Amino acid sequence: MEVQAQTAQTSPEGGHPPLMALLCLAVSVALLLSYGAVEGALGSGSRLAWCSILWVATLSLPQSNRGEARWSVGLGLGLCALGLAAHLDLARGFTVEQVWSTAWPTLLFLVLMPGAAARARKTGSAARHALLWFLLVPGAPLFVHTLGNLGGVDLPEWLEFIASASPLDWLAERVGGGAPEPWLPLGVAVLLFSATATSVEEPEEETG
Amino acid sequence: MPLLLLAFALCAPLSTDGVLELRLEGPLVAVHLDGVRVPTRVVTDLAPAEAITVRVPWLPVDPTAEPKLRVVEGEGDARVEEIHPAPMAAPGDLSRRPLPRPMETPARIPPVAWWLFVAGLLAVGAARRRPMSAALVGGAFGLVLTALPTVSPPAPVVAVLEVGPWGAWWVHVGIGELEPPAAAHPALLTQPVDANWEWVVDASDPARPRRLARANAGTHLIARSLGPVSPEHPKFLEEWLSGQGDLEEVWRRTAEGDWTHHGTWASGAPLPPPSTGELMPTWLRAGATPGAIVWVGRLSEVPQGTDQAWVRVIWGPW
Repeated sequence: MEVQAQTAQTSPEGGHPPLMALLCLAVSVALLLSYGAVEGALGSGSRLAWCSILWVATLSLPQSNRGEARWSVGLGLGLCALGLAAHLDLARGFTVEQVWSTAWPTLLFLVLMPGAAARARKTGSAARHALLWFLLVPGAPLFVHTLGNLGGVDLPEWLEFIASASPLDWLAERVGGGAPEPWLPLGVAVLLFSATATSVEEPEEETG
Repeated sequence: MPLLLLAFALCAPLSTDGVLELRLEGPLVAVHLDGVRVPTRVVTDLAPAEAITVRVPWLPVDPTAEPKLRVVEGEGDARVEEIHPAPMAAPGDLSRRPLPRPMETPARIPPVAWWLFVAGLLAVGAARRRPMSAALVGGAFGLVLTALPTVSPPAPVVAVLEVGPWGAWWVHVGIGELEPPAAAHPALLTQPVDANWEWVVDASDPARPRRLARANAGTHLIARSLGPVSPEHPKFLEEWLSGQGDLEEVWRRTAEGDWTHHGTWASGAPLPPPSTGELMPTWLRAGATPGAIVWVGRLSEVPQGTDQAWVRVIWGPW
């Protein structure tokens, strides 16, 4: 964070959000509109959980070495969209407890996981981070869903356990109204963050 | 028709459901009825020396028991002045008709929240030179957006004037809350059956006390009350319908099962020729036995407290 603050002060151009974050913002707004097609597609699922999936997936992406984008600017945009989604959920009858139980783990994911990606770029552990991110965040749940749910394959329990540790899988459960414990996905977020701190730090600006 | 109504009245099970005329004297805030099948309370705001008379639904557990009043809040007095019999219960055939389905309007984000959202995006954009500040600004706007007071759309109330050989009955359906017409029987139906609900008589405004049935969100509350005098023979149906007010849309099914759409039908005018038009809601098409004559119309003028009103005639075969 300190490096980032220094970067901001030294960069005459200032930061801009990652392009993917702008795309994510557009999709989030579309999910919050009260059109029949949106209502029909999303049903009674929590809009906060839907938007959280988008933002956690987007902002936690491994970051490029080149590029000038700042993930924290993207996070600022994302928090505005998530605030709007939380407002809509409350208006649709979700209780404050239900909204809060989705919101606080999402906030932690949004701080830890993009922070891990930014730190991986700075510490030269980008490859390790990318591999871990791919395996634990989108890879395992997609693999399990494709083979287990679509393919009808009987999967070993350990594989399903790994898939259930993905923050995206946890948020997908929240969309469906489930209330799983967030500790395992939070553990994955912490693992991603801590796994990027072991390499030698390079004095480089944080960009995304 | 009067003979039919008399026969229904005689065949109806013995019931002491009724309407109490209560005299409330201040200072008084809340009175509960005890010994009733449905929790019933009266809320008011009477100052000392103020008094009002209100009508309260009464659904006793024990038909032979006297009404029991309990002052919950206030030091005033509440007493029963008179017990009126409940309005006539609806005929059994009415319950075979598919119920109206109020379509809940999905909650929307109010314009003020959209404007605040746009302001948040601009503020994040303005703070982008200090990226962590941008995140904090975004977080602050997100927090404010979440805490904005929400506006939930009111649950719609749909009314259908059901007409058949047994007469004409209004069926009012609301979700979560319903203010039934005064002529409705106080024993409302619910969907799901046996769902919990309560009567609340809100006499905070003594000039216009309101009788509200309340249940959990999602519970349908159904009130039925006797409608206008209906025709005695299907050959008078067209004439009778033309006298029920302007109809925005009219559909008709012959005994052979052919549906025709007749568009707008002004009161007193001849039935417009068949035309193409919108499909009616599925629940209005259902419930008619083969060979029955069916008329369905959407009323331009809706009864007080409803958002949408229909008239549905299903007659025969016999």
